[in-house]
Amino acid sequence: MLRIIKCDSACTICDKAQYNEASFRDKLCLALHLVFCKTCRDYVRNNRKLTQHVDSKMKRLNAEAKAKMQQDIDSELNKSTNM
Amino acid sequence: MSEIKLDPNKWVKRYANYLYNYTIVRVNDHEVAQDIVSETFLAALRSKDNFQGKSAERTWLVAILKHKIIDHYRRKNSIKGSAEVRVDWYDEDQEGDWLEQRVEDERNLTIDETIENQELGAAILECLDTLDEKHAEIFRLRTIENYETEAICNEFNITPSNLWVIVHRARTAMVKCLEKNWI
Repeated sequence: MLRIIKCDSACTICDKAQYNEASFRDKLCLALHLVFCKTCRDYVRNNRKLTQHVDSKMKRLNAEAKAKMQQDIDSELNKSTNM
Repeated sequence: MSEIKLDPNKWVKRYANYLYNYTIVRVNDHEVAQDIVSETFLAALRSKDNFQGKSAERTWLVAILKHKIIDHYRRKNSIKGSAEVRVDWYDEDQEGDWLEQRVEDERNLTIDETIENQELGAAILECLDTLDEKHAEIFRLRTIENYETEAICNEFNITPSNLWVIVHRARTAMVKCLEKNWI
């Protein structure tokens, strides 16, 4: 059921939510907390913005490119152990 | 503090995305950036005996990466020089002391968005450097390298609640640092 949570729990739920790790119930508790708490509302807003910016600006290499890099490293490592 | 050891088998997993982002804001070409990261790993392997364990693995890799980026601009500059049939294409007192500034800019600089994108991308990476080393590392692995929470807990030997406390501190510090860069 819904319960009253404190600010530190509210922040943790919000942090987890940025990585899709908050449960639905947790998110409801957070929503309830936000009704009363301006400080956490600000935190949530900034935290979401941080997620958006990181997602849009930080590119990720695809699996293929990473596999190629790993391969190069492996063969270089083998080369040095065989010497 | 115990001496830091290199762990080349984990480099790609741990640093590839970070180093790639570090490079892309500086060279603005996907293929080139990817090659530079690759070259950096290989160069690091070849000189791994020189690693003294005084700096973090990441810092050491970034130092090598910086050299590779400069090499890239040098190469580009020399190609450009030869194509211009020895016209003196810059004066000593011309603006731009850095090699990067002497290379012809391929980007269309009238597009504000490109600049903004790059600046914010660079700001994210810079802010990451201002964080406590361990906090930055954990935030980076979770957020940029896409590590699972559990994997980080295992590697750092911490509980999930420890991890969330660290992530919270890192995120608060990142917001504070980035506030002046976002609209």
